[in-house]
Amino acid sequence: MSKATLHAKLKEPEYRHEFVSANIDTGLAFQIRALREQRKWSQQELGRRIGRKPGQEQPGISKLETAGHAFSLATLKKLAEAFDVALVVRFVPFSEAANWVSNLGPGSLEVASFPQDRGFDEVRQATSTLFPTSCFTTGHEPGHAQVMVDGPAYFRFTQDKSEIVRTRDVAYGSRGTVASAAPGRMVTIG
Amino acid sequence: MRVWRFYEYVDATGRNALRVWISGRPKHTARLDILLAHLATIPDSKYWDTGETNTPFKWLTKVKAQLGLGEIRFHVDGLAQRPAGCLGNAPSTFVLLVGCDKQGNRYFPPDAFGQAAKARDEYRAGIGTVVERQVP
Repeated sequence: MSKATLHAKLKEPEYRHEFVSANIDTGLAFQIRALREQRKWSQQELGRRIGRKPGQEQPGISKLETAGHAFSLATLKKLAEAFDVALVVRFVPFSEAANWVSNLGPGSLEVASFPQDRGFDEVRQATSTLFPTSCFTTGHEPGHAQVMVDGPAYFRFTQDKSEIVRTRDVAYGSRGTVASAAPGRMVTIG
Repeated sequence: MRVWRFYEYVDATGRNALRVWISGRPKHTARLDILLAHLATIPDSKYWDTGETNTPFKWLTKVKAQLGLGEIRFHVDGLAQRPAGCLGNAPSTFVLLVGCDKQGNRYFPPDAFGQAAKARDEYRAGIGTVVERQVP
């Protein structure tokens, strides 16, 4: 739809206010599902992570992933914490809401959690003291190793599995060679 | 870049049932626009149907004549809306065949899915034409 066509539709008050309402409850439902699937979590797993009562984990998330569900800010904040992403709630011009919808595409609802947030790559490089001063590897079978880190970092395994390098020159996230880790977390790369 | 394109079916007499249903209903139009924009983010249409009770899209499987039809599900002012369509002849296209309101177990128009099945068969037989429905 061209910008002019959408603008013409938005001139109708009933259309534009329902556009906002639908964009909130439909958009959030689709995004919660997208974020959950991005992390390969079941509905039950997400329900557990946001503190739903035992037995209510899966039905609770099923409702949240339903377009048209009314969301509370408290629930949205819990979800943001579980996904380890930021949540922005603010008033914006209609043009901004329209642009958001117009730019939707495959993968556009996915959001990287903080350790994978590439928006901080330069800071991570510049403040090298934040990178781990010690790393421990276990398991030297080909293609498999475990790493304990004491700071946020990205890793690439080199030919020698005991050698770990910090880098931003590789496309992290590619399976098998690169992983990210939060402080104190054990990660398995294989 | 959107994967999916949506179309409205226009029968041989020039009637566009989806357009007739939605004309003059700005809330319905907004809801449908937003839902289509989000469905278009999911490359494989089999995942449009979440399998949940309140899935935003449902493939109809209970009645043989309705196989291949899918209903788009949303509410306007608390009332259920069920425009329906089928996959298009071209890849990654979906054709909207009818609009439909639902109150309880009653549909308006009452034979909406019979009309949808007829329109689907006509469309697949090359009868009538389609016009693209622009999604925001």
